[in-house]
Amino acid sequence: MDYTITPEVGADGLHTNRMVINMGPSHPATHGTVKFILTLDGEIVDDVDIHIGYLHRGFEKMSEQGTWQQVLPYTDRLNYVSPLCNNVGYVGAVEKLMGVQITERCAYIRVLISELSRITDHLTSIGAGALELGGFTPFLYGVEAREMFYPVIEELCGARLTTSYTRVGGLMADLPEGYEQTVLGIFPKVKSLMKKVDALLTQNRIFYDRMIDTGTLSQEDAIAFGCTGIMLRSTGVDWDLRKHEPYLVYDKLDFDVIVGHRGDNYDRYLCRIEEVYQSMRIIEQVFRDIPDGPVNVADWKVSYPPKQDVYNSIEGMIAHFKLIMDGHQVPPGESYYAVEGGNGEVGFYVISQGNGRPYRVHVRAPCYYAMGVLKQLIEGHMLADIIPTFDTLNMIGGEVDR
Amino acid sequence: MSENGAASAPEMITATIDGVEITVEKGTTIVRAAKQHGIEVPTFCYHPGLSIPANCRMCLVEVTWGNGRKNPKPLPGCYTELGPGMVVDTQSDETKDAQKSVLEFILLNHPVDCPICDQAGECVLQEHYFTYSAQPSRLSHQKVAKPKAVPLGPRVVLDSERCIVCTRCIRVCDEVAGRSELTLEDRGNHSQITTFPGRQLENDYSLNTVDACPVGALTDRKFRFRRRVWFLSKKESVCTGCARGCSLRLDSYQGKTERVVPRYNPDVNNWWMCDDGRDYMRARTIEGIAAARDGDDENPDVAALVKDVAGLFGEDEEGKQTVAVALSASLENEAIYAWAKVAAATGNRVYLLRREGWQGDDILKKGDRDCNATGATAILDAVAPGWGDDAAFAANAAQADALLVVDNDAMPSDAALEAFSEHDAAFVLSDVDNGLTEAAAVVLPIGQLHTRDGTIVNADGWIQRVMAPLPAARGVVRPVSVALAAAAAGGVELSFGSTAGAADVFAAIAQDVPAFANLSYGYLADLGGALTNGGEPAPKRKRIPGTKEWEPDDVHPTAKRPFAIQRGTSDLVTPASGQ
Repeated sequence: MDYTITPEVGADGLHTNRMVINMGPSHPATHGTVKFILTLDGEIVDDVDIHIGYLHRGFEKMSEQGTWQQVLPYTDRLNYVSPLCNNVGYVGAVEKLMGVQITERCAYIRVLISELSRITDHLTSIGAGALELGGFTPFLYGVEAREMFYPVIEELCGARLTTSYTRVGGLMADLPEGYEQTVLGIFPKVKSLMKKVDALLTQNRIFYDRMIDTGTLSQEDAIAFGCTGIMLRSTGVDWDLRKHEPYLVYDKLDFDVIVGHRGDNYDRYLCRIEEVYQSMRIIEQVFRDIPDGPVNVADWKVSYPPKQDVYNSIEGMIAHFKLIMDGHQVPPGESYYAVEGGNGEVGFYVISQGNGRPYRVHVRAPCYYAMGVLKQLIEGHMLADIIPTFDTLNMIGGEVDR
Repeated sequence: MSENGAASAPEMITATIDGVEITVEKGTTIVRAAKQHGIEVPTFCYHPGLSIPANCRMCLVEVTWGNGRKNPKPLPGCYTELGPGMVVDTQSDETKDAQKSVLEFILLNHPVDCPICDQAGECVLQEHYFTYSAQPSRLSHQKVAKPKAVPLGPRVVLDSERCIVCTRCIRVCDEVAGRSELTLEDRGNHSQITTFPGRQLENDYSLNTVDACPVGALTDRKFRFRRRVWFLSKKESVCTGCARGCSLRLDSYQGKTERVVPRYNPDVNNWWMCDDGRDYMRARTIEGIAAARDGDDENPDVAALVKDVAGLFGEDEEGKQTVAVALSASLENEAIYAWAKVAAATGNRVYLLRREGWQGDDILKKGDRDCNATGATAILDAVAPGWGDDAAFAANAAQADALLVVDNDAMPSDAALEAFSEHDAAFVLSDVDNGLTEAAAVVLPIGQLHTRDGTIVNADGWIQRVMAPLPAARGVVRPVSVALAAAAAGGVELSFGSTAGAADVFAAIAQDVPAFANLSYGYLADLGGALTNGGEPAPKRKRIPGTKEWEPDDVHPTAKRPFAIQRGTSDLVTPASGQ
């Protein structure tokens, strides 16, 4: 791109040169490390060149090196604000290729963890968005609410962010004892914090003016650029994988798909707030409906045998050894499995050549497509509007630069 | 398939395996017929190179006879011959049920040893259990305890608990080594492998029992607990211990040879290999010997020594020197050829040094210790006619201005060694410290043969590639490189350039030497091939589609077998005829 500036002189004899500035990659508002090369005409963005790739780690190539199960920890590091959604998506793709039917209890737990992750994702986005517009207090409320979820997730799998909780054919472990009380116990406090955030922001004159009619995305553009999740729904398109291509047990649960109508930053903010409440609604239903039973399928060619059998029987020992050393024997073929993640459709496309290692793993990361439409939303608008637009787009570097 | 074409065409029969109609020679067993068509029937006790006892029952398959009547019980596929119109189902519920039951039975008393078992990772029991059963244990009582580290002989240790009593090891001793040193004692779940009272497992082929053992019951005392098998770097190569040239796989870890296992080659060694060959190969290292020059206190620079050696073939004020060039018959063809060309072109005589001190047998071990005498002779006949042997070298050494030995663990005759020791200008290019390096005025390390690629020809005229299973050592030069330096000094034109790899040198050999005509490195990969003696190479043996296994002789039209393993005479007991 040519950044040469031609001097221009206005009618009043003043120089009105356009100015090129670099924003990022270490600018505090370009979280996830992205760089904007902006050509400014006064305060209006005349042109923008968006550079992604600062967090590239070669996820897809790394995935070809290990066994099928060894890919899982990498998926934590895609969208690291909602890692459990990625865990669910990846093993879903492998299970689809293997033709494995997971147990019903496992399906309910996978719904539960997906919604827990969605809440942490949205809380982060709302809080950080307010912070970058100057609202420190709502950020603290948002993060306080998020911090109530992280110990809950930690109790589940031992880690706050790097969860790696799912397994091909099941889960690392069943829910901890008394988990229903643990999760539902924090909801009143979370709801009260959400109310405070709502009270501080939604009717706030400054916040409203910064958000309304900025970063407006049209329905046509949203669909043409492949946007999913909040980006798409904020424009008024009623599309949610949980509702329209139901996976796991979402078809048995009652919840609403939240849609906006303007497609601007304010709508995206409102959608997120409302989706947090919907997720809590789903979680309450999960605990109401979840059946007893095993979380792992009984087939030892799919699920790791229980440790009791591994250490005390040669059968369990061999099955464990073969699954760890050679990996799951996935029949040759390819599959695509997508879940509704924090930012939209997280899809995993995997190819097997019939052995214990993936031949190819591709991620359809929702942020990647949203980043494609970002130039559209910024150009011709005020420089300051980049901040809320980039915030509500909720770009996560780990996912974009896979 | 007959070589002379005199035998009548075999009778063929048609049967069905898994819905596929196949036509095979009459007398082919179900397991072999299935394998030829890429269908896997699991086995433990069956070994294609041994007699068939059908005792493990892993290969049970559902059989419907040609008359349409289903056999009331599944039959062992390794022993049952395919009959006309027979229908075999290896995927039926009955077959799968039989496989699961057999595996449960075999695992009943199997110890939970995988974490400490050397076989883990290449264990047939692990593979079959995971593929054909993967069922939990139903054992409710204690497992039968048996002796766990029984030394059967100087090389092999037995763990009776891991043994599945397939008797492969017994049959290896009976049928390959020709010495019935192992047997089975007791009955039922107390059966175990043992030697006869006061006797040991000590035949020359005892380590083949370890290879044949499908589980970790028999272990090599030198490899036991050394290294987990999945950490090994596994490279195909050839044994250079004698003129048989057994195909083998050399498993190394960080450049150190940990284990040597034979590789199936129906034209050379079938599935087997002698223990001495393994010892010889295990001793191959990447460590070069020290460079040395008389009068130098410190080890001299290798590059300077290359110049010294090359200078022998140049011309100075006093004119040309005469150099007696002696080559070890255990060198690869490429080195022999390059040096023979240089020596012949500079008017020097070539000698071939032979190794001695080896007792061959009528199984695999050849009396000739040199791994490449056939190839070396063919090349010298073509390139350096008038070459001499050890005795000629001893007789003529004193008349030469300088002596140069290119060595690969040669053991020259006493006379030749004495003549070498007495000469003032005695140069040696070597890879091992021996009598020659002690006596030499200049020692130039060239690295062991297994750190390079090259070809050797066994006593039966079968040529194979060494394929560099070990990484090259530092501070050594390839013998071909030194020959090229000598050629440059002597003004000799060679058809390959100074950067030539082994394949380029071999291309020159194929041009120059009739015995090697029309052969190439690509053709010789894997199993090698027979010398062509001016003709065209035979069609290559093919792999069974979808597997890594080679088509057996009976489906390979041009297969010929230069040797057949013969039963030796035993000083213990006479092996029973048949099985």
